[in-house]
Amino acid sequence: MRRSVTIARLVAAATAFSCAVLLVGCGKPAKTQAHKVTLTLACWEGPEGLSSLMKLLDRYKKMHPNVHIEIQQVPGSQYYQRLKIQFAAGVAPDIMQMAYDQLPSFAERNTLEPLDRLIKRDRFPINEMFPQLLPALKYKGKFYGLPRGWTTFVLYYNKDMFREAGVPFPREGWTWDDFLYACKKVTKDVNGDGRIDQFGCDAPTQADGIAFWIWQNGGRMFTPDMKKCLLDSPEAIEAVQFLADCQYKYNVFPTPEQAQDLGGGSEMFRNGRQAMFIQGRWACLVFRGATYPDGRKIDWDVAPPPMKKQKATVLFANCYVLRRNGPNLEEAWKLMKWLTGYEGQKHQARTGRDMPSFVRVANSPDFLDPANPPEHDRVFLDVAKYARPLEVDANTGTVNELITNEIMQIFTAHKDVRRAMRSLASTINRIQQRGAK
Amino acid sequence: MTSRRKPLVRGESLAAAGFLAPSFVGLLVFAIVPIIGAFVVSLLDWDILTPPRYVGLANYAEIWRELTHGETLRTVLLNTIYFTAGTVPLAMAISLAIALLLNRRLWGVGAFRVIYFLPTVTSIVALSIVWRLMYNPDYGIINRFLRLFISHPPGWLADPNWAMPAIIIMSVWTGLGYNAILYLAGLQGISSTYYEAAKIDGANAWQLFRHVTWPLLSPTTLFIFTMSVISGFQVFTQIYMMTAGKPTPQTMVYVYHVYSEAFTSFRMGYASALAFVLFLLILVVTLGQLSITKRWVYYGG
Amino acid sequence: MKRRRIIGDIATYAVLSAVGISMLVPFGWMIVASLRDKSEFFTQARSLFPSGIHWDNYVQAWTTVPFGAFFKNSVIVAVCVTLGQLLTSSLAAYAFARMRFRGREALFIAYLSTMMVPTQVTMIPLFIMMVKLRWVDSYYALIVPFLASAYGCFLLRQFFLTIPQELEDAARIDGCGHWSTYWRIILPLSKPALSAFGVIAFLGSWNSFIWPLIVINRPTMKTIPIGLQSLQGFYGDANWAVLMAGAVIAALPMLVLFFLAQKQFIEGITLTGLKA
Repeated sequence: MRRSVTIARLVAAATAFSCAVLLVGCGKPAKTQAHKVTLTLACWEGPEGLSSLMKLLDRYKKMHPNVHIEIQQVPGSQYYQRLKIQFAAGVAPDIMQMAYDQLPSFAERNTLEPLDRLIKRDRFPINEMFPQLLPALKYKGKFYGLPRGWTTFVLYYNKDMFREAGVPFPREGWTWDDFLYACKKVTKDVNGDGRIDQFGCDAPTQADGIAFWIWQNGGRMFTPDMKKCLLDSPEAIEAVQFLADCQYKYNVFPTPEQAQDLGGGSEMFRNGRQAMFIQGRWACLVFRGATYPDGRKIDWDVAPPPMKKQKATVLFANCYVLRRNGPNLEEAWKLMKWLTGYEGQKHQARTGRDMPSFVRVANSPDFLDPANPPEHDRVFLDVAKYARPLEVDANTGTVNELITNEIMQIFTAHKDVRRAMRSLASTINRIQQRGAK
Repeated sequence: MTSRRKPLVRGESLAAAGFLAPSFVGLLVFAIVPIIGAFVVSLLDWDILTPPRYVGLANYAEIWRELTHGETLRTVLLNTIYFTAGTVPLAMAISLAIALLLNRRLWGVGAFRVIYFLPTVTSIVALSIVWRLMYNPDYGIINRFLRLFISHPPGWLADPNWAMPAIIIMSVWTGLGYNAILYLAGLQGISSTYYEAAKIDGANAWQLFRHVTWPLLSPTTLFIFTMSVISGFQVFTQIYMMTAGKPTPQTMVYVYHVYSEAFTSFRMGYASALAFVLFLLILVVTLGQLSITKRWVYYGG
Repeated sequence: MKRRRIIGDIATYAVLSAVGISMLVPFGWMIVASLRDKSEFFTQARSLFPSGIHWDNYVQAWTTVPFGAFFKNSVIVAVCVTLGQLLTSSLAAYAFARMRFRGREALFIAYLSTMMVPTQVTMIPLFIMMVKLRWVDSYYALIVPFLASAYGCFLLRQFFLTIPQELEDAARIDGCGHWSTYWRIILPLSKPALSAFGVIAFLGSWNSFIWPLIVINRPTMKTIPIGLQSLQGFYGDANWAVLMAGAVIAALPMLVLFFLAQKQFIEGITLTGLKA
């Protein structure tokens, strides 16, 4: 079908540009044989993630020798824009990775295959997954994605620094005050050059980073119908003000200049310059084997997030999704079942990077690996009780960008929190009231 | 017109049509139609995945609103002007100086010409990656060098105040050889009789430059100036490769803004309107050049 | 007088060398960095030179992204675009320079005016056109829109006008038509102009970035610049050594070509400045 269209174009173009176009024709790859299937898979994986994915796919290919899988790796920063271009051009991949917060935007535009029929038909064990994860996979009541893995956001902390400062380790139920106290205790000028070079924690840069605190303060980002943005509510302003105070008033978060000198949050934690760091499971991989500049190993662990009015944390899911009515839909679904099913989840759990979506795998040694830090892997599962996905809809991409920019204004340009949050909420409200497009 | 006026031959028109057809079709379909298309798209609200909606001049109205009340577009324009104003005079001055030296036709200057030309033939993508490493605040060669003299060299691309200067330095470096070669060609086009006449009048080196070289070089100067301003307005690749507009918004320039509106936010209509405004800006610059040419440039001979 | 001359020469050499070194340093740094071990970048190594020669960076760059395919794509695209532009431009230039037909001047001005349109303006509608034609991720998208060049028409017409009419008249008497005059007389006499313009066309196509960035998604369809960009996207700042090796691999073909054909390169690019 696609081939014949191309040939028609070729003929048309050849009348005007026969010479060059003929040369082009020679460069076209030959079509694969009928019984062979070439599946295209788009992913954002970096070097380690890609080699892990390749291993998993190799096992799949051994079982399905007729399937050839072409991986399209795209850097995260350009990933979704490439997908949109590909969908618009009708050359979207058969199966692709997608963060759950992007599902609505793509599903709304009729680009993704709804999975309910397939899940039901093949009895995919979706009910054996963590139930709080399921809403993140749905849009308007239908399943669109199945998780590669997921994570809750927890508090990473440097045990050495806590010990040295004489502060008890963070544990379930500790509060914002405890957090601030710990921050103040560990922040100091280590090398004595008059500049602070060890900090408590760092300011958030993205929407999930502030939702984490706003929820703990009993607030919300949006009303349940998503019509109204609540970032200008007292709870939200208070939460962000707390973070701004940590940076500007108590100086326990690095300023952007300081963070930049020291390499940014995750880098600072990894080099023993920052006592705490809020992040999902994937940071474990970065922090394993982390050392101080003098080569000593950093002793770190994870703990539940601090609380104010309630316990709350963010969950995040990385999914696989299928191209709607794609030419290889059946084969793509088969591969997706493998990647997101028990086999795939076990593999993924062993990499240490994601939390497995199945309760059974999560409670197995595959995930609760005693050989590797953190010591308390279980914290990720424990906080799942009160974890929830970000409040998202089809506008989330635009909204998140606005939030990111405004947060930056607060934490780099010292913009007044109340003013920033109000203008942010009113901008977002204009978008939300225009409705999902 | 031509000295050999021949009657128009019907067969010749037909043959001419044959000779012109390939380029004509190509330019029509891939240059003229898209210009019209750009204007048509600028009247739409379209994310290319869902059907377009006609909105009239709303996108232009938004540009106007952004210019008068917003922050983003104004910043983008200022950044673009900053880049252009930072690059053009610097690049022109240095390349003119180099061309004057190259024009002394000493032994071995050919080798220098080749060396200066290297960046021109090298993919700017590769150059951007190299410069990104050189600008690295910790282990880049530039700060290693600067640390010999000062204890806290700038953070370059990561530093809001230094990101744009860093891009400017890199761009000047990249374009130096090209501009110098253009100037050199201009210099070599100046007949030596002018210099001899001036020398007889007892002119010194500075007077030679001021009263002979500079006026006779004015067509080249104006050409380089216009082309540099136009390409300054269109800077994209090094921004995309080195900073991606970060630290936002210090290196967010016009074409990068158009690109991200079109292919990140998928606001095809608004992006097309922005592109059309750019077209008008460049048109003004070009027409400005033409009118200045008539008044200012000295065409010898 | 003589002494002043010598001092001037020395000063000239000094300045030219200083600028020359600043031109070469990034290239040297690129090569040195491409041979380092990747850990050397983060340890603030004192030495400017690598601890050993790590050729494996090149192997890794070559295998992480399909540089072989990039190279093939770039060659196919640049060759097709160059040949296409040479052909269409020289044909039109011949018509404008040597043939008489109604509306010639007007049409020529129309050709020239298309040169004033920046590519960024046409990029969005062109992209939509590629989408509608289903040309995204194909050679067509990289080649077909660029087969005609108003600039080439202009440049070659200027050159053709300098070829003495008498040669052509002689050919006419021998019974040559327009086609054979164009093919047998004009083209062979225009080799310098053709090669100069060919070099510009080739260079422009080889290094073009924003358009392939938009219309190419599949790794195996990428050209060298966007392929190299994807290598940077893949590693970020994590592996400078491989990135530098990739940059060397990407820059090398054009540099080699440049050293082999310096004259054409410099003439071609000088031409862009003088006549436009």
